Amino acid sequence: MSNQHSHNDDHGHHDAHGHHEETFISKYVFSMDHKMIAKQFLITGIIMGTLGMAMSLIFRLQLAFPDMKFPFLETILGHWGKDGKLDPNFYLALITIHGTIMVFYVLTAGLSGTFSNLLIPLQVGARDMASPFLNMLSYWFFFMSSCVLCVSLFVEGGPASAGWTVYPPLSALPKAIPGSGTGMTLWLVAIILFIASALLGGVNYITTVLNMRTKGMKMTRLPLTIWAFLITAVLGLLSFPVLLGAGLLLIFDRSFGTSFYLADIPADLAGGIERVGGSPILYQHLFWFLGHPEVYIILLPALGITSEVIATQSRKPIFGYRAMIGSILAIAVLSFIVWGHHMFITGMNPFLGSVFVLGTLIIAVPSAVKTFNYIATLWKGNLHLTPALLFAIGLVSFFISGGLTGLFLGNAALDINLHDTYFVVAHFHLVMGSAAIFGMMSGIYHWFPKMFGKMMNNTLGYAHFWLTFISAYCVFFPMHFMGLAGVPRRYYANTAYDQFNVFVDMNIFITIAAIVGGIAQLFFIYNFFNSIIRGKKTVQNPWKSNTLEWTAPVEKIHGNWPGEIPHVYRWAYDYSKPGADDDFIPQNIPDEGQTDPLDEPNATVFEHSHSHSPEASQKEVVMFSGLKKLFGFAKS
Amino acid sequence: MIATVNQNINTENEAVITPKKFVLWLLIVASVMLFAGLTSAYIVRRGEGNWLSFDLPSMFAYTTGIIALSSVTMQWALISAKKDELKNLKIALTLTLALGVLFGIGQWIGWQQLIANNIHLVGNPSESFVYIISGIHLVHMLGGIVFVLVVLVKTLQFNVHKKNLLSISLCTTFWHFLGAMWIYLYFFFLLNR
Amino acid sequence: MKIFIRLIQSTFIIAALLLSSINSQAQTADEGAQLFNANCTSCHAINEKVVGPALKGAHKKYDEAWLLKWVKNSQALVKSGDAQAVKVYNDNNQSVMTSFTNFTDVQVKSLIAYIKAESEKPATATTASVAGSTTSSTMDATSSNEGLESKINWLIIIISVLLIMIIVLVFDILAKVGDIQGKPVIDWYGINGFLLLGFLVLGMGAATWEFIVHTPLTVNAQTPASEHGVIYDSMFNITLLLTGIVFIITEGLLFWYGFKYRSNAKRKALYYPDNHKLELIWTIIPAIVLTVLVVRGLKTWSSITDRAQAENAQKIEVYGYQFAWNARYAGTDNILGPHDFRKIGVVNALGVDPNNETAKDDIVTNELHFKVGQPVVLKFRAKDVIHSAYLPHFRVQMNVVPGLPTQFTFTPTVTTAQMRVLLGKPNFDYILLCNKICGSAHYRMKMKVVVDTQDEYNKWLGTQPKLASISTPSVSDTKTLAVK
Repeated sequence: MSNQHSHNDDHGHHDAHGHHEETFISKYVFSMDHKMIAKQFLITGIIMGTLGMAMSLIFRLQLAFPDMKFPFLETILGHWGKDGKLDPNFYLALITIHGTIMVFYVLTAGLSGTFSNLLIPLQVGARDMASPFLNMLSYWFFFMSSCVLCVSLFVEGGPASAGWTVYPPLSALPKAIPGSGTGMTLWLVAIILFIASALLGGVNYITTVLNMRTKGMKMTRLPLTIWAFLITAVLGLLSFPVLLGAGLLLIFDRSFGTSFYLADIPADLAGGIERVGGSPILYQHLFWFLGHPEVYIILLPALGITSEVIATQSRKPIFGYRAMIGSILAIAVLSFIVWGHHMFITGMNPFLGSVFVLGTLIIAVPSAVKTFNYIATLWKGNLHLTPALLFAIGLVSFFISGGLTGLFLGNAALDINLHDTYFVVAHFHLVMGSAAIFGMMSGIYHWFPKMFGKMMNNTLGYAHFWLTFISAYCVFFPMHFMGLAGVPRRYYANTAYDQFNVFVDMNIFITIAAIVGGIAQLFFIYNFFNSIIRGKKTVQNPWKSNTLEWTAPVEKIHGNWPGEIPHVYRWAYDYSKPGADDDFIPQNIPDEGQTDPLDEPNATVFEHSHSHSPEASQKEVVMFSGLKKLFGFAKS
Repeated sequence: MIATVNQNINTENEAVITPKKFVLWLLIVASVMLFAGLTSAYIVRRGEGNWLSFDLPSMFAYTTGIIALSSVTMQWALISAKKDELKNLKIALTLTLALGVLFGIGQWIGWQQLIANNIHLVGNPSESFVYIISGIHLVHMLGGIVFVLVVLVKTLQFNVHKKNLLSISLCTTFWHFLGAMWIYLYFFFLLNR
Repeated sequence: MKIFIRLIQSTFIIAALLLSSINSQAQTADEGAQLFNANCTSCHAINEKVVGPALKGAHKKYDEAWLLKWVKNSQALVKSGDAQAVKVYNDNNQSVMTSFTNFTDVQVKSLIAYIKAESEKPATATTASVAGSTTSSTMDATSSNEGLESKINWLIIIISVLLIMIIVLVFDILAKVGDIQGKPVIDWYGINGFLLLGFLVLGMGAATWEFIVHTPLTVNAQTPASEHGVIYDSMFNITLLLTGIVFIITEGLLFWYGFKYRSNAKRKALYYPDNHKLELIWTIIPAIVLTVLVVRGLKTWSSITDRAQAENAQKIEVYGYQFAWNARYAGTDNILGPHDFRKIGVVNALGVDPNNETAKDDIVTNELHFKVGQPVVLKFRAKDVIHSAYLPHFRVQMNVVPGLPTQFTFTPTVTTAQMRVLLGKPNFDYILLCNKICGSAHYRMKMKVVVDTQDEYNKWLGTQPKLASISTPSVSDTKTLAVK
């Protein structure tokens, strides 16, 4: 690839899609190039994320200072913030839209949309997605969906306010609360557009990974990022249509007088038509059939990015590559049979509850395996503690903290007293919110040079990491204790309850931490846009990484590689391989004597290091004996 | 695993054929999930009792026949295209199109029959489900009819033949899916009244 | 609600008879206070906007005749095009105020008298008395300090942000110097390695501090007030212990390795891609730990949800609607009368069939009383949207779903009086909270729960009127519906 520049002038001939002349519109707006679409997803995601975060700060202020007036609220919210007091209806709207934005718009589209688009063609060695046109449509559906959601903020009655899960009857009866009117309709429209976007994106990702890999890129040589994106897309493909069905039935209940989800609702509450015979719980079943896989749709890409970043920046192969793939698959399969754990206290049959407990706790095993493998990868590494690696370590830390509290909530018996309290808020903000955001940040810091050809400012990156990491723990860790005291989530204020008033100081502390976290994101936003414009130019492979995207030139061209697409001769994790000159061997470099890409690379080097390195086996023994003790203890 | 090797630009266009079909299959999977979700909702709701049982309109039996027949004509069109029998191809596609439209009209009449039978969209969920599930299928069907129309136009422009089978084979796959889905739905309704 | 109003009506009449009109003004305000606390506090307060506007001075702002109409049916007034009504409606973001068609003019007037009396009191005293039922005086004390505190906090935030910016700037300059010199001035990996170690130590310290300081504030630190609460708590503690151990080991290793293996000039990473034995071990160990948790958890779950318990239990219906709770006791026959949502009206709020024999001895209250040691089965029913009845001290929670009856069986074991002694809080009361988002006043939707001894319970129940003693005027029901 050393002569890449000489190829640049004729890259138009390698452009499979015939974009010989590019106008501003076709290059930046209706682009079909996966790299540009990735940037569009990312920047839309960042904008939506900023909005979602601003919302969270407003309702945090309300929770910390329920008696104080903030005149600026009236300035920005108008009649919803009259006299500087947040309206209780709008509080519910804020938590609903905050949840919707963060779950769907930032962590599904912003995270998986960005990195799947950017990395799938580049890492599997393809010129673009299988269908660049559908890919463009996918972004524009997402964009329209974002617009509809934003428009809903300004309608009379306010945006949807029934919580991000929009349980009927609250969401099905337009008169139940102000937010269940036009705002709810627009919410449903936005989500249907979003589903269209997710499905179009998903089919593209799956097709590209399965059909368009370059020569030598066996499934067992794929980087773990691609495995994660692939399984994520499969999960989305299987679960989003069910949400679509649930949403359609809800629309009919709202607008056409059917009663799928409504039972025993008098006519005066339900728009003049008495509703009998439906089941509100049916909606919850359909919703969580998507909703739980959705958690992994959010998390798996973040874990995939983490695998890649940890291996690269530790200069070590990822520990247990096959186990990592196995655990992704296990998590994916199990995620479809555990949705009931969101519904333990809906009066479900206790036996059914037991089945869901079993499934839920089994899912902890592959999750634990992933965690241990990350830690084992760090062990004896050569840790380049870049912002990307720090964010990846942060992800693992949140994944542990939040995952462990899942063992409380997944156990039906314990869920009785913890359901819908702040314990749940703490749990999912750590394991899904913070962890996935950290995965996304890790990815941005790692692949920023690939996306924009510039380096981000390291100093600001470190400041961003430490402020965000500390403030995230300060925000969410204390919430566990509020949950254990029985403080329910989605309460506008706790002042009406004696036993919750002891948490006044804690609420103030949490809000301050949240504001600090918010300010830290300003560092990031400044760094991000400033680096795009004024950042230092990057070299082709700044992290000395093995994967294929770094073999493509810094200058972005249609078709990704000038000349031939590189062939792949090895897996993505040959870091610090003994006997090699450098501490990395890119996937497109053949071993001596390896002519056919499909042959395995020279195995002797590997065998040598694995079984005969005295240092390794010695450490192994030490680690073993410790674990054996633990094992023996557990058995006795 | 179909490992496509994108060695140079000339082979790439051929390589794209497989992914398009693959995309279609994935979209069909998504659609199957939609109907699976709706029909399982139907079963779950039915299991809770308070369920109004009624006879399906007689028209649905005829439309089931029509859509099965249209699958045959569609397959005939594909075979004709493979053999380059353009005249048969045109006849078969036109027939398919006509049968598709007929199916749509039949569904509409079926709904009218339901209404005459005092089964309305607004009422017991058992009634609403039949309308909505058959309605969503009809929306898919409209997509299919447009697809057939596009292929027919291409045929008239001599763009479908032995060496250019992509669009018609995609269309055939989709059309068979629509037929199979309706037959499944019809028997599902019949067995789970 | 109907019962309550009846009760107030009857006490009003008795009071009027007994005391004639010696102190009629004050008496009216007292009645108003009772009415206010029973019907209005979920949405209104005198001095602060809650869900609805603050009511201070409302008696001056609007004339009495208008207020009478507004309270009884505000929507009718809005629809009639009354300019003032439309303005109030729009000013409050078009939230619909509950109609109180069944209020008599005298009752509304007593409410107005109460508002007048409260509005004229000095500000601090008013707050205390309005919020008196729930908000403690200590809360008011802290809230008055908050303004000051928060200003200081803001200052701290601004200063620290500036500080961080300066630090960033300094480091940036150092980095640039490094670039110019050709060798890095700052050892970033070293600094961050130490920061990771520091975070581990400080973080673990802070977590320990939290456990020590905040655990006493949780309900887990209190004696559970129900029989199954004991096994619940032991299950919780086992889970806490096991997860705690895993937490310390894994987080410890993660940050320790982050520190220990930070890159420097000499370090070389070890090529160590796989070890099947090791992976097998750390698959099996979590599996064993989880088996313990699953087995224990399912045992606990099945003993809590065992439906056989419900057979001998006392049946109490808990009824939720936007935004309050009612309880219905079965009376002497221990049979709750049948109900029909079509009969729900403003007067017959629960939709109980008034003509049914089994319903006539039913008792509707807006407090929930249990006999200590007596198993109860709570039968949940909702009118409009999903609510969730949450009794944290009893480790009880169940969704309350319209059209789908749910239930929870348990045995309260600690009386309110005993719990007050145990906690050292003489004002302590058990509560039932709404824990499923249901609208603007969701956060105030609660019911007082009392665990009585047998005697106290009988005494309390004796004072509650039976359903039959209050004839249900079905005419007014139809009228209500017609108006809507």
